[in-house]
Amino acid sequence: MRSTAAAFAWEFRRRLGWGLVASLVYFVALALVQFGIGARSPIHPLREMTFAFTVSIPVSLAFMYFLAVFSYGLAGDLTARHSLYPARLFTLPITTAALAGWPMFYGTLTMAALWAATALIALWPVQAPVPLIWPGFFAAAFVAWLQVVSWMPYGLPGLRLIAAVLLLTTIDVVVAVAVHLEVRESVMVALMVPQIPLAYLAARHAVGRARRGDTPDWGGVFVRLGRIADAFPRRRGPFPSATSAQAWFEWRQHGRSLPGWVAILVPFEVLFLYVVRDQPPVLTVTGLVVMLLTPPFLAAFVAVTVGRSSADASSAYGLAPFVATRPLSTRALVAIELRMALASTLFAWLLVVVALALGLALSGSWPVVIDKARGLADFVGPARAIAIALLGVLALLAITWKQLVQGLAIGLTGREGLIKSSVLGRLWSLVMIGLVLHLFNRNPEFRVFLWHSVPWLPLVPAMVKVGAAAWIAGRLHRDRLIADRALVAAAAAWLAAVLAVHGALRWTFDTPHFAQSLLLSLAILAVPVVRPAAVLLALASNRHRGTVPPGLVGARRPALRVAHALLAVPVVLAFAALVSFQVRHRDNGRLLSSGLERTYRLHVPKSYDATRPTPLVISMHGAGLWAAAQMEISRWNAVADEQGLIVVYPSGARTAGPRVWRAGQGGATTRDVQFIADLIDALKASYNIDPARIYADGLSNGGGMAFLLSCTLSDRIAAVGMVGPALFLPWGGCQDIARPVPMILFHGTDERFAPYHGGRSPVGREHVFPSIPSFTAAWARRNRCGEPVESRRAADVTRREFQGCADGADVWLYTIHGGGHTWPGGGDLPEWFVGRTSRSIDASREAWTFFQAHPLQRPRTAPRSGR
Amino acid sequence: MGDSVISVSELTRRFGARAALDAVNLSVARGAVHGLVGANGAGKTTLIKHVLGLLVAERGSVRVFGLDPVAEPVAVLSRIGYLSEENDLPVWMTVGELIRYTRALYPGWDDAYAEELRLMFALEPAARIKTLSKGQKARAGLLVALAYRPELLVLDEPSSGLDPIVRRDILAAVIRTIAHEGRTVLFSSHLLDEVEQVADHVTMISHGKVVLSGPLAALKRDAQVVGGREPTLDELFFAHVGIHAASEAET
Repeated sequence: MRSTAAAFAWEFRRRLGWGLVASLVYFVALALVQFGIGARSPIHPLREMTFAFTVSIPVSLAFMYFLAVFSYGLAGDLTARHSLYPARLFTLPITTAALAGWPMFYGTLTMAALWAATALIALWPVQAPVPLIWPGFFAAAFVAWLQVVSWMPYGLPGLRLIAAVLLLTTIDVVVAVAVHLEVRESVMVALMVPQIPLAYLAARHAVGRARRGDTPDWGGVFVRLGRIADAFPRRRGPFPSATSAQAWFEWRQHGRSLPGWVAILVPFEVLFLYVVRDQPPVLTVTGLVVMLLTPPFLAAFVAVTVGRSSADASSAYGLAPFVATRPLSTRALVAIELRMALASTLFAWLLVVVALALGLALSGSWPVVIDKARGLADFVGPARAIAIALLGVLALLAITWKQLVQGLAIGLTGREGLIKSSVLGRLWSLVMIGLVLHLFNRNPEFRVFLWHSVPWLPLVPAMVKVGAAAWIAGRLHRDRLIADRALVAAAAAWLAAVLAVHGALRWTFDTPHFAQSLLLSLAILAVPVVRPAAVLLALASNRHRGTVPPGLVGARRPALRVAHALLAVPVVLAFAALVSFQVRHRDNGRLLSSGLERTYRLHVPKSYDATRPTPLVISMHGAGLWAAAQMEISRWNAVADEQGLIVVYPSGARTAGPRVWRAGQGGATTRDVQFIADLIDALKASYNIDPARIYADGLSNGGGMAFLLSCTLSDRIAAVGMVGPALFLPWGGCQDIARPVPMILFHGTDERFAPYHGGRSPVGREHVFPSIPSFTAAWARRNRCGEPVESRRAADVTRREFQGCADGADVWLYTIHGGGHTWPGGGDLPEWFVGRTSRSIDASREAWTFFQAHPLQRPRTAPRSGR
Repeated sequence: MGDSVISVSELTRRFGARAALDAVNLSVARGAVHGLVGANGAGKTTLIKHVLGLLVAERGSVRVFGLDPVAEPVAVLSRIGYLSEENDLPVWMTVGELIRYTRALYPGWDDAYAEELRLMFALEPAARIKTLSKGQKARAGLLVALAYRPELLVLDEPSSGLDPIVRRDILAAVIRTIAHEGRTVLFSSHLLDEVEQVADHVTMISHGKVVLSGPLAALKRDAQVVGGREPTLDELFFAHVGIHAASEAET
């Protein structure tokens, strides 16, 4: 080696090793794909999914890998106080300037080259709307600053990770702002270029300090803070037991890290809340969310070094003999670790709760929070509001604890590679989260796909989780780390906890919108099993290293099979519930309308005779429901079978959100009206439908849709029915109709989504619903009806009949006294959510009686317009 | 041997392709002061880690007090005092806290003896371990390994940490006391003269194999006479392990 430069170059080439080769191969392959296949470039940044998988993910992986290599991050302990710069180089006869300079030179050069290759191969050929130059300088500045962060000695262990996270976040923000403001290329270059010499000066200072052993130690301050943080009075007497001594040891060694870091961060968050108190509320909300995410976020990073006895040692990842040779069983050690994690979690959250109260008081946001809480309590009732709050608190505690336990499980393996890649992986996911959110935001198809996969989405990780739990159970059983009885008891306790959580979720979210399988999958994911079991496995394998020889291995006993069966129960139930739900609730018809595939559920009675014209009822679901739900709620099928009519339940459009009918005003409504028209045509083509006896009805949003159809398809639909209609279309928006349309309406007086007497409701805070009696009276006036006749149909039901209307277009209003947002006589809906369902009448049968009396007639008179 | 505290038979352990231990047999009698000698990397620490249950036997068996240290760590470890080669005491503790913590883990802890050792080792209870010198750390480690009067004391290369005064005067005295009380000592070292001073039994390991094992006196007696006298341990070592390994040991 002739020169220092050549020596560093050689070393980095060796360190990069296969990573460099893999990157080169990747770029060659990318170039072949981009330039080799035809004239049209297949990889274009506007085709998000393709671009993400072919360019963004591999390049960002390479970026992270190069970062780790050039910052020497793979060589040392990321959380240690001392510099990560390799100490072996300090004794070389080289200036500090060269020690800092050469790695920075090669690092920045490599990063710039990485961007240049990406830009030249993936972006430039397609003239992508992406800046071509400044990101290269940006990548170079990024590696330079990360080198500074890595090489700087710190006063506290773990401070480097916080610095790295802050750096990554700052960078994310800079890029987002630059892209958002469309800052000129030259401005960005001018901003980025001076970063490199600045970073070099900082790096030279950092390496200089490290070289002369100048590592600050703020541990004293931390120890004093830690003493304050000790919730327990400091005991001077002997420990009552070995476990209590070990618990003290774990708490002092690792338990205080999370509360300590939380205590350092939350004052800044409180300050932020105070500073933004007069700014738009979104900032306060952001501040609160950040504060609530602080413990789980920090927990993901603090626990990985837990297997080490000394926070100062540079490479002691294996379990220290001092800990390994304590006369305590591995199970006892694990139980103590898990309890320590719990204490840590509780303590950290106690700090957050205090800070939260302080922050809310300082920023004057208490009234907003109380208002929101009151709104929630009004919407779901106080009991469920408390349950939701409790579930939320438990979820935050559980997430924090699980992050800590996961860190323990990884840290206690003592495998350096695993520990480091887990930290790097988490940092990488910080970078990637921006890309994922961007993808989610930009790609409507992806959003639709994601929304409609919601029932499946948690089931897949739930299955993976149970699979992992079964594997770990097998290992624990094989290595005799857990007694048969304990294994079965643990599995049974987990099952019981899952069922209990599922019960709580079911009670809290008891509406048709939340599928059984979804809640069960969430319960499976919520109740910990894999992480704590992994801690036991990790500690055991680290404490007693080596493969257990066949002689020691326990035979597979029935206990394992029982445990496996218990673990499998909830996931099998969730899977069965999902499959049965999907089968029972699938739509059985589809057609293309306005360029969209639309679906519906059709019921043709057995008595259908193709030679006789048959009536058709179109029954539309409420917001967030679907065709089969409307079938179960309205029970039109029974009427259809008895009376020989065809009923069809159309589904709202498949969008990235709940299925709703666009039953308001304006051009947006055409899509759904056209769908119903196309549906009538399609059914007419296949069945002998009586054109004079086509009716539409619906619940809530579906009722609103029936109102819209009465305006827009009055020449095809003979009469409409509405149950608890959510009327978003103003009366004035339904004027020019071809003929008076007969109408039957059912509405409860205790209706809270579409209030009987009108006004605002929780489902459309901006919208004022019309009063139902006034709406009906206006309809009757338009149909030129006479005075209404009031009659009692049941103890809780009265009917107001407007008779003598033009063309016999009668208008009937059924008032259900004390009735809710429900289908009278129909399928059960949760009373707490929608109110009471009257059993005194059957809305579908009443509607059918009304429909039968009102076939389509050619108009003899035009309806009166306006009120 | 009927009354073996440690009995290792046909123990084999590989790290990758290299055999760290190759069919090792070892028997340590109750009341013996057993020296484990060998060059650096000969397999002494690996053997000790098997005795403590920190490594699982790949082949062969390890029994301590007749028990498997991997299967029954609590029963075995509660009767062993161990001073590790690495100085891995938790640096954040004070000497007082270390004593208080360790005391809770061992029922046989002797407060008076602990205090006697603390005075002998000149350790301040308020001193943080982080601030102690390497030798002082080793003394603290020795204190908490001795104060519960373990049935078996395992010292892994104590010479590498302890300063000459402790080594020559205190360690030797401690070991003699333990042996006198009928308890057992297993200690590894590459300093042969030190082993010769205190050990009554010796096992020599080279490249993972036991090359010589037995009572020191008998080994010397059975060896070839050097210049009209019994050979020293040094000379025995050279004879069995060879110049190459010995020179490694000296460095």
